[in-house]
Amino acid sequence: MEDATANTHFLIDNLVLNFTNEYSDEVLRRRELLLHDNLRKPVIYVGMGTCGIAAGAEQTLAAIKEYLAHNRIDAEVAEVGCFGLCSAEPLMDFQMPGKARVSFQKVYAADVVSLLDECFHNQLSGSHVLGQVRNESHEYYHNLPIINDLPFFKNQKRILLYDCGEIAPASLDEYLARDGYKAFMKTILNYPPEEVCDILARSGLRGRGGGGYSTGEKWKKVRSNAADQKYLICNADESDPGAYMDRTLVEGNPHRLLEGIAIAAYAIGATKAYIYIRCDYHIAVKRLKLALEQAYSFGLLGNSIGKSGFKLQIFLREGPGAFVCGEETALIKSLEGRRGVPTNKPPYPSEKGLFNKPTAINNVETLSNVALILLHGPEWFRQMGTATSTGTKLFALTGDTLHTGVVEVPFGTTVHDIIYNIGGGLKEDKKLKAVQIGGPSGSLIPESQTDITIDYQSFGTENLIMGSGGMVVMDETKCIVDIVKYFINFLQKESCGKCIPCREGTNRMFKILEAITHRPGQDANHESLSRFKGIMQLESLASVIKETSLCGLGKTAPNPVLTALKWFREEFEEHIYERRCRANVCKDLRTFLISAERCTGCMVCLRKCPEDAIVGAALQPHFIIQEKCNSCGICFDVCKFTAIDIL
Amino acid sequence: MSTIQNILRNYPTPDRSLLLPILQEVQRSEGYIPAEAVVLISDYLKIPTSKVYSVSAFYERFRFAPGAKYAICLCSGTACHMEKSGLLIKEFEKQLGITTGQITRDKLFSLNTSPCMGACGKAPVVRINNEFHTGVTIHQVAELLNMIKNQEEK
Ligand SMILES: Cc1cc2nc3c(=O)[nH]c(=O)nc-3n(C[C@H](O)[C@H](O)[C@H](O)COP(=O)(O)O)c2cc1C
Ligand code: SF4
Ligand code: SF4
Ligand code: FES
Repeated sequence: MEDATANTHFLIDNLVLNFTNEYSDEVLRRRELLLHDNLRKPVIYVGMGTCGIAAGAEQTLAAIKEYLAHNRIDAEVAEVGCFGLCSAEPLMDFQMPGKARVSFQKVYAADVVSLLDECFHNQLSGSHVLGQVRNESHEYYHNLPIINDLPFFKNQKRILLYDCGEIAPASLDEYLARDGYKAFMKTILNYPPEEVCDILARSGLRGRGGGGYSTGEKWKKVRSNAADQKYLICNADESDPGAYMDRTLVEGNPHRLLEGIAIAAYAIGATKAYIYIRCDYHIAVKRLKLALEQAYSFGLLGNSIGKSGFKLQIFLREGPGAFVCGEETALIKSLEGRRGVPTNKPPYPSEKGLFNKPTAINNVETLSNVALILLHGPEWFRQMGTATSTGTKLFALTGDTLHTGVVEVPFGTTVHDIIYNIGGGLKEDKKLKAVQIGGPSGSLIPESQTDITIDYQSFGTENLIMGSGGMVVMDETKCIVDIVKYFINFLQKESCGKCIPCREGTNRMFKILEAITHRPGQDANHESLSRFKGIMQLESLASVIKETSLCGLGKTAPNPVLTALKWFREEFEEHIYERRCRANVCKDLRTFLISAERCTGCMVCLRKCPEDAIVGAALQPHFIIQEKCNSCGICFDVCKFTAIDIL
Repeated sequence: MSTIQNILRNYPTPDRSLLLPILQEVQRSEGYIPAEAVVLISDYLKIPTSKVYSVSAFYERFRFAPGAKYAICLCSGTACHMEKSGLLIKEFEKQLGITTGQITRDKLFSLNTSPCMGACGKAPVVRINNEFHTGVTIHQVAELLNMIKNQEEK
């Protein structure tokens, strides 16, 4: 075995810097090994993304290592990112030399011994199996499904997620074997920066951070503003509460992002770049740090990159977790060591950005596309999606679908397709009620509207906001008022407080929503009327907040309320007039009563009631003391005799 | 006190843009931002202490008092909210006798929320220090707390 750094240097000299597409046998051999097309020993892959670790992947990994040590088996254990199917975590893949790679789902530490016994004795029973990975150079197991044909994967278009879960994020070599840094090297050695901006503009790539502004045009603006120093900022703040696409990309393949940043910096003429990543993303931060070290030590970043004379330093800054700091001007303030409060535009960051120098700010997903566009050309990129929205978009699919996780689809796909063809429909075949797209500043879409295609144009016509890509699916057991209240509460806490309409207005909205989801007070007089007035006020409040707030947070804050009122007005009215939450979520509106006829006096509810609000003796009907009851509904859930009614 | 000075030594050229990274490193090493640190940082970066405070107070993550031995953190992401993380928080608050953001008198527990922890499929999620608990029910709250308390007594 030669030493590892020599291998990396070899790959850089003979693979990355070879633009002929004709490689020596030695290069091809090493590449095959790194691509795991050709193995020397068995490989076990463990999904070690945030989702995997939360599900218990660390324990699974430890059990695997112990198994190998105990049985004296020589196998490679690869820690990989998540391939998007978070609901199947912890994920373990197994691959024998010459054979197909098999993915197993929900592999907890306790499952490891029997599963690996099956694997190493070539007697797969099929339990935990998700499927085998398509690769024609491998021998397939019969009677196991091909993973690529599963609806969850087949109906996606995975160009950014392609490598996630396959490639070891800690291995620069594996990235190089997949044409990593080739686009960057080709760019700085062959293309003038203007041409790079042009290529990006021609590809039609638009910012994925929410605004949807043409990336090529943004770079051209920064280029055209003369200055002694320019900056590139990668926005990895991602603090929308239901979105984690950027995290998945960074954890799965950090070098892809670094390469995109490097190309962007070259295109705009920046020699310094910052990654502003939210501090809660510990694993992503760790992987980026390692990737940066690797890139510097092999001359892919730093003072003289590939003898081209181009210099670039990339700094990693952890954002201390504030939603508003995802807004570009606030982010700049935060990087300068100030309070993260947005400022007026103009001047735009492209004129006066970080330290008052021209600055381009791009989102993680945007930048992750860049290397691919330069590698395969803008025409390749334009083939995907629609005429005005090219390429793909990632969504974090959460809520009540069967499968949840991060999915990637070409623009032009319908919301319905994502939920049913990729997400597998709703759990327990429940009925779809609504979809929330774009997080706190996004829109609620009712079931009847889910045939809308996802692209900037149709969202524009419908006045919807794409946001960054959270997609929360709700079945009939979810309450619209409650979810809206949740988002407004989030926004009122995250408002930076600079604009009074945003700070006080979102707080007022929250109070109104609280009032209509609370237990009715004693004074019945005109209470419904004043509560209804709240709804009228919601609408006028919304328009004031929209019109008078400075930054995008305030400007879009009323969206969840407005779209909910548009499609689900009757549900608001029910909460007000009938004091009823049809989904039984607004628990304060509920009153629980035990039916004396049906109650058998089994005492189960009495023991489970957290407030000790239930009294009764064995085999006698029980009774709920309403003053003590907090409407949690536990008694309702535990009663085996359906003796409890909800009023 | 030399730990703070050691941290400052990692940043050879004083510049305001280093304020947040320095504060973060102090919090990582000390668990919170001690008053002495604010003074030292303000001297070093030549910004008034009031500014150092004002900036660090803007960001919720900075603490000015030591943390608890067991940091309980509930996911407040959308999926967990829909799986009733709100009720879970209330139960923790009740059991611990504190409200979210506070710390118990014996400095054993603190209670906080955090955005999506990435296990939405298994909501609601609770993290205690670095250990994840998924699909937590209200009944498990007391169990979890008792387990820790028993451990502590030993
Ligand atoms: C309140 C608010 C929060 C935002 N949060 C993010 C974020 O977390 N990540 C992001 O990339 N963009 C976020 N943006 C959008 C950025 O301001 C900016 O438009 C984007 O980073 C530009 O990159 P792009 O052109 O690649 O999309 C946010 C905007 C607002 C108003
Ligand atoms: S709109 Fe809200 S978040 Fe934005 S600057 Fe004004 S107060 Fe701050
Ligand atoms: S659980 Fe049902 S049947 Fe049993 S005591 Fe309670 S109400 Fe009566
Ligand atoms: S919302 Fe709680 S883990 Fe994602």
